[in-house]
Amino acid sequence: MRSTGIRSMGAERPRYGGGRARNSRLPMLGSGSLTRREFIRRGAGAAVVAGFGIGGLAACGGEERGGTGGASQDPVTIEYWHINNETLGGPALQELVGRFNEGSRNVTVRERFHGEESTTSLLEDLQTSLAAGNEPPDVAQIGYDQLNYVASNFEFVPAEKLAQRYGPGDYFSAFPNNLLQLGQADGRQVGVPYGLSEPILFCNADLLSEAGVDPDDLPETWDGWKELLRTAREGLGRASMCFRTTPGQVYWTQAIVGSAGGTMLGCRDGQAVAAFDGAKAVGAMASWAELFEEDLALYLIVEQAEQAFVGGEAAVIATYSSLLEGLRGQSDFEFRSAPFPGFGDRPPVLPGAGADLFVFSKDEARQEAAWEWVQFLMSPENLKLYTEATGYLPTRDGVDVPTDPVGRVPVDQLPNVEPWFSFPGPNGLQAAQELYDAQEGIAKGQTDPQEALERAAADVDGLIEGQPCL
Amino acid sequence: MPLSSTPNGKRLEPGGRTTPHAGKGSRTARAALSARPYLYLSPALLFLGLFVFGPVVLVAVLAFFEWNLISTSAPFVGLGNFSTLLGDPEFYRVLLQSGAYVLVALLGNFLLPVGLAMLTLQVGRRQADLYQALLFTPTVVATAIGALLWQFAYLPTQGGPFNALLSAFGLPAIDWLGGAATAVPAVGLVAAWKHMGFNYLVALAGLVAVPKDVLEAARVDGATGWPFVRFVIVPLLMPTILFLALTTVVQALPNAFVPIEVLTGGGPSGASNNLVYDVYRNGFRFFQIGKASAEALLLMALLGAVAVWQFRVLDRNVTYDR
Repeated sequence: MRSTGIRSMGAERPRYGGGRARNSRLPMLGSGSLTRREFIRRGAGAAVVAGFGIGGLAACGGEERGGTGGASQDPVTIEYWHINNETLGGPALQELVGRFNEGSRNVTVRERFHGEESTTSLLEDLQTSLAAGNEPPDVAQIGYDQLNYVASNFEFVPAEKLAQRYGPGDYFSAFPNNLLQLGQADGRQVGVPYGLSEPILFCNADLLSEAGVDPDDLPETWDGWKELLRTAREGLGRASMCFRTTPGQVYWTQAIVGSAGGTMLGCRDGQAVAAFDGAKAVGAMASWAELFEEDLALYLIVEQAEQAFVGGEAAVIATYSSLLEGLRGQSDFEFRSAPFPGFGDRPPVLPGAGADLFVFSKDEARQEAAWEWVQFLMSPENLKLYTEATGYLPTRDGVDVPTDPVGRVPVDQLPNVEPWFSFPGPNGLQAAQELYDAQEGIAKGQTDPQEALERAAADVDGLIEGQPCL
Repeated sequence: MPLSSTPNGKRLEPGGRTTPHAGKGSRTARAALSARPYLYLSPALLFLGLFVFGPVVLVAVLAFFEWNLISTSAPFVGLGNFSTLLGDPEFYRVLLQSGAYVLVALLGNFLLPVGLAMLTLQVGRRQADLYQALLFTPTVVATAIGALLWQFAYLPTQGGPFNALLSAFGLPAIDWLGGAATAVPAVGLVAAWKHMGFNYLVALAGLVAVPKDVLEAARVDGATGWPFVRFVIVPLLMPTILFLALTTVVQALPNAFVPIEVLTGGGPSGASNNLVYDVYRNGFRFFQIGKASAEALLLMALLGAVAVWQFRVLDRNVTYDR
């Protein structure tokens, strides 16, 4: 293991630890358990959302939580919403919660799983819960691709404000600049980037050899990969690469367009406009489409892509680095990793996937407690535990990272990571869907890239009309 | 106390009247008695009001507003949400695709189970039990799990079971879920597979209940083959057919919801989307509650109209008194 950077953590030693919890601390409910009263309240809240969906009625909800705050020394119970199920770092999170609750004198964390591994589901739960009149969670994981939507539609406390208020003032100096941007919106540090996954290629070296390709000499550009895949297609008689795609998410478009020097969003008369239909973007997407037209690659949704790769159908999978251990564990072949390719001499652009930690607490005592929890999660030793359990990469310096040949590739790519793109405004999520539909149509050969991107750009412009430039 | 007695012991006449000499006390008793049916109905009415009629009314209200669930302001937009939907070509595409889902459901959840139920009656008791168990099994499998199994079957590579079958006949592989033309049948098939078993049992129960003497009489008269089915079995099975046809049409779109979510997310490029999934997507993915409510109302009106039409057409041929 090695470290991502300089350890400069002395100034930000968290204020938890030392001493056991006081007896006066409110008892923590077991994971996922609810009191009867809370169950009824939540049930009523759900009924409001399912049935009534009216803001006025929503006020009858209101979740009861231990601790009212007011004075920072009073016991406070905060709620943490996350997507870490059993296979995505759930046990590690339980351990972290246990450690924190043992060590903190007056703050208790109650974790709640939301989202079935997906921050999209967590956001759905968050929005419907608020509509039902419930208090927001104190801390929640918000997907990088939902950053702009949440920043422009929700009430929250920006991370920079919390760092200023509760310290340390230089808290964000421990983060590399490009990774820090994963939590920035409207020029502010709104969230704390927590765990990172990035585009990468995983290879079945045995199958590549069988296809007549040298797995020790893999290219670093898309042109090189096309040549390799043509050779592999001759050898295997089929497409030997697959792209693992998640419906509704446009990371492939961003990676391809950005790597070719194109941009996703432009600025006209002070307003944001779609720019993914520019010449560079269209050229890059047309080049990407050739992979599918020539039967060199397949565009498959999540499980199908993984099945094609671990089942030995595809020799290469373009996916996200956090899947490394999961895929390697299922592979009965020599597993390799290779950098995500770029165009020519340009370094590739890698949209960082993962989630920010957002603080939604309303009163100051809870905000302080929430910030304490965020700092605890982000401390090097705790972040190490989390990243090892989930496959994510750390977003800050001072954390040990893998040094083996397979695990080193994603670490070496870190400087190429950029914020996961998201559209601004209340219709931002629908705008992403429009672009995703275009991406899918291009990959499936159902639409000409230029036509698809121009049509999507027109739709997106309508949806983000009036939004300021990012 | 017998139902025919009032609380004060007076006899209750047919029609709910008590004896003529009833005074003030008996008026109270009469009022209590007349309220009794409503009291018995109140739990069901309360439930329906809270979870069915109330939401429908409130969805109807929300359809005229623009709201994202969390905003403190919800501007009134009149018919704006309806005109946005009806002016969007995508809505009509989704509508057509919804029609395709209904067709697949009618084949898989109506014609097929009724046909299989008829065939089951032709085999022995033991084989019939086995077929019933086999055909009902998918009904008890969680839809999401079943959809994941089908996802493997639909693998677009040569290694996918369906494509391996095609390959054995020298046919090229098909991208079942990724093709614009194949996505709806592929997803609809999963929904039909999941729900076929239940309808099969309903159809079988209907067939078993057909009076044997009528069948025997028809056979004595020489009815066999298709005419026997068409002119004897089908008319006698009409109440069951009406029930199955109605529920199949009404349930076709919601039944496809989970398979769409698991298999395609509505793709490729919206080609497997249907109206129910679109309502969910607008409401809970894009948080456009007003638009989703308007779409839900249109969907309800459409399904209501189809159901009424279906009921009228089929009900003419129903003989309830056997």
